[in-house]
Amino acid sequence: MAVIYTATIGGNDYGFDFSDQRIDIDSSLDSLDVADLYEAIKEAQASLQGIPYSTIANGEGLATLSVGIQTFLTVTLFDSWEINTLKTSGKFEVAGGNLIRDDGNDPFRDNPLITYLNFLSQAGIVATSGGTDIDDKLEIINQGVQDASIFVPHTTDLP
Amino acid sequence: MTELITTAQSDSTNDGSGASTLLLPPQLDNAVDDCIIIKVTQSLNNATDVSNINVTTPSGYTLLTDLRDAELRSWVFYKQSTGSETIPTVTSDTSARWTCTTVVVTDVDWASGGLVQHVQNTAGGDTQSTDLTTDSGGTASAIVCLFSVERRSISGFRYPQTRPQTVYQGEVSTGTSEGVDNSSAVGHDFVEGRSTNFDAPFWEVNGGADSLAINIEVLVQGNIIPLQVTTYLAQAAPTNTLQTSANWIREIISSGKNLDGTTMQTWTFDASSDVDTTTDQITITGHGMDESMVVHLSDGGNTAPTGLSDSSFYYVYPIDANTIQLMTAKGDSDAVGDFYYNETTQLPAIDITGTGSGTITLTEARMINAGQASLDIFRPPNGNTSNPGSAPGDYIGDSGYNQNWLGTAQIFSSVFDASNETINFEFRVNGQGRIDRGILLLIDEDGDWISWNLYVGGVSPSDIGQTIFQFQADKTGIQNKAYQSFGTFDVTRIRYFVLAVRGNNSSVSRFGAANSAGGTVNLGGPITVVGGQDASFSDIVTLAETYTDALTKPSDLQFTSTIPIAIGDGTTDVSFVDSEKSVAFPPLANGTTTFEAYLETIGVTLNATASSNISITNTQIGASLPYDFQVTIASGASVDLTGNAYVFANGALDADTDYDRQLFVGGQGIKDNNAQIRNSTFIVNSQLGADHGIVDLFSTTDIENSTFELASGTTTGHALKITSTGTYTLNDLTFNSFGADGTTTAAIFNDSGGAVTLRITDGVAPTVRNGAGSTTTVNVIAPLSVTVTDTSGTPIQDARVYIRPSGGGSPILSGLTNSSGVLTGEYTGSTPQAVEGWVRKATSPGTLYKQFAIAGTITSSGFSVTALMTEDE
Repeated sequence: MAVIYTATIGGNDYGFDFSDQRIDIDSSLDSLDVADLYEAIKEAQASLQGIPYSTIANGEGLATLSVGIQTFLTVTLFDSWEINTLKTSGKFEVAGGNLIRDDGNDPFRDNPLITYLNFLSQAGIVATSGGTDIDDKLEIINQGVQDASIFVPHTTDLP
Repeated sequence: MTELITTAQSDSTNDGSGASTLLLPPQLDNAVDDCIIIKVTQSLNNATDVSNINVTTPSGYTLLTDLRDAELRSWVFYKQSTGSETIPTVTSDTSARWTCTTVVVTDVDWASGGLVQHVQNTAGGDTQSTDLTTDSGGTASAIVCLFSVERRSISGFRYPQTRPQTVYQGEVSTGTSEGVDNSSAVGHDFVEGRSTNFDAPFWEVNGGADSLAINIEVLVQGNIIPLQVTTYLAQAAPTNTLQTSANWIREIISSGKNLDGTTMQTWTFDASSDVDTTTDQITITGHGMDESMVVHLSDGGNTAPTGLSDSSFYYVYPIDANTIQLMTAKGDSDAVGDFYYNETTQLPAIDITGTGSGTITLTEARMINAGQASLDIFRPPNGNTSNPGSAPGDYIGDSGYNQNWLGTAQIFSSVFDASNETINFEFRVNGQGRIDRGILLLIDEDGDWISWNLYVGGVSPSDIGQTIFQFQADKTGIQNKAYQSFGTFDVTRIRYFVLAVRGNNSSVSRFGAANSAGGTVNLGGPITVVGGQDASFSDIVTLAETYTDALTKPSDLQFTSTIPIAIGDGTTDVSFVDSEKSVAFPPLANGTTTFEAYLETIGVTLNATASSNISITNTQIGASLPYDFQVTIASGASVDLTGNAYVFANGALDADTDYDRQLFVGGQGIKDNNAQIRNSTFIVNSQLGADHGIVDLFSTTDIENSTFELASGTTTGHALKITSTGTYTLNDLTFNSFGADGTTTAAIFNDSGGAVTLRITDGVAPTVRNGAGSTTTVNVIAPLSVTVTDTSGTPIQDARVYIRPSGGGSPILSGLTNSSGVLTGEYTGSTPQAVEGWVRKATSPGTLYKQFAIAGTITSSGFSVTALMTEDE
């Protein structure tokens, strides 16, 4: 078992072992951006090395709510694909979207030396530059949170 | 097609007018500035009366010449046409039988002089007309050749001649009464050379008579080039001379085989005891010899009786059943006078003045060296109904020629190698019912010999006329047609060329001619035509009539030939356009009546220069035996052979034209020479033979969308034969009715001695036979094609495609799409094959797409799918 394809996204390497169904994340990363991960996955599964294999993951989301504002990206890993940080200690967190496994299992390769932090959001929003000023964006985000919450806030103000 | 020169002739007999004062030249179409030439001829049985004839020049015409021989007179008039003129009647003050000729020359260069000159002469039958030097001006010349003869028929131009391009256009005749009738003939030529000698034709007639010939030069502009013959006579044979001795006969005697195939008889006598020097008689008990037969004497090292010589020839005069006399023969000294009896005088008996010693041998020879001239057999005097001898010999007449072959022999100065040569000679046999057989006899340096029939009594016409004989003596098939042979004839070392005839012992009257007007041995070739303006097969037949009867036109759609035809010679441009015709080469030589064409390599050759135009379409060319169809085309030539059928052709094609909708039936194979062949059919029959393919397959062979068939009953032969290892692609080729794998009729014969891979695209796997050491892998190729577009139909480049057997396995197709969004491939496995796969596009820059899943089945026709990609997140 070995990594047979490495995608480099944002200067960080993502190594793919298609047999072991493992994605090795650059040790320099403490925080895994889900969007970058999905970019790496798409590149890997469409590569010469990856094309014989079934797809690794599916990505959903990134629906445009307004100019510069999109819904969270949710990446669903298929089969037994797992994320494996090459860090040897400390915390490793997922940011910028949701990362889940299709079968509901933990998307991370067991590593007792690492603390994985994976915050899931039902209504995550990604804000990008352009379109509206920051106050407008915050209001839109807040409205999104309210719409997705099972609770009805007392105020529309931001917490 | 416009003809440079058109001719027509008329005569008073066929016109029904008989003797008349109104001479009616035939009508011919003419246009403005054409040159109209009229010749009228009258004949009378009195030179003075002829000289007193007055003929009125038609209005508007110019009298070119008024030429007369003793009992014959011709007038020639001409004018520049004003367009669609009626050819006028010519009035004579004397009633006599007449012949007329009308000639129209178009494309005339009047500015340079138009009709610029004529030459003329008279003779006494056969006539060598007068040469002329073409005018220095203008571009080219039409030469009009006119001839008339009193009371005789005109055979045409003597052949061979120095200028085969001159075309004989036939004769008209009022009859054959002396001093009453006359005949006229016309021919023409086209000469581009300026200030060039024109070798005028030699007119040949069937006897002596008053005759006259006129050759006229008309300058033309060169816009119309007529069809002409070039290489019917390729070149003279190696130097050969008339053999005046009987040495060629000695060669035959050495073989011990008579020219008719029987074993030569021999007789012996004792030179001391069997010879009567008083009566000059020799006793040979029960000799059975025929009177006038020629025998050859050999002393065997003993001493012949005085008066007889070793290695000499004698006529036999049987005295009785046990006694003979030997009569003088002149075999080595006088072929012309060498005959047994001339109606009044018998050649003298040898005066034997003394006995000899030992055994003397007489060998049946039955041959006389009767070479009057080159290819000319001496015609003996009449014989006599009363047998001059007292013995029961069966000599009747023809001066003893009935019992012997009469030969005229040419000896080559050095041995003649006839390999790949066609021996041509002209010969006429007028048997008049008195010749049994005529033969060509070739004798090699070792004395081995072979002969072929030229004339067979009761089969051939009584008079075959001057006939051009052609022999490919080196061909096995032609040697198989031999009349007789002895030993192993070596065609590479020919020493003697002999023409011989033998009387049929049925008449005391001498036979007619057995000679050649040309008198030379030549090496020939196909009748090759050049020039022309969209000429046709019909034009070739007309042209060939100048030289031979071997080409005929049974109908407007059919043409036959017993000699090869070549269109173009590779040097001079040719323009030939014909379609929807049938060209046939009927059985040759034996089985025919004139035995004139002993050719194995026969057929059609196309030899086009870069500026030539040859179009033969939807035409069938066939023969009773395999023939050659050879195509040679210079780059740039316009050649169209679409839709033709070749029955029994051995084809050799040229890649400088394409071949569409061709049908090759039988024959000994087609050499495609990398030519592009499409939509065609090849039918293999038994002519191909074992271990051959009708096409030899090479890596450069370019045959597609075509069918190969094995004819019913064929037991050997293949569609394709492979002689080199490698991989060959057969694209859309169909093989019908061929034998199973390993059989002698399998579709493919791999005789490479090694490994061959056949890639079969758009077709089914052919059967294969492997030669020694050969192996063949047949891969039937199913084409694969994946087209990738976005949802709006825009092609997606660099999408990665992956197809594999359903459930997994090695990939069948993998790669990136091209700029058209297409990835193609081939599948060589068995079909049907279920497949699965996907298309992904995630390579930046550019839009990235979600995977498109593929599922389907590869059939023998292949697999094709279009992937519609949706954008990914």
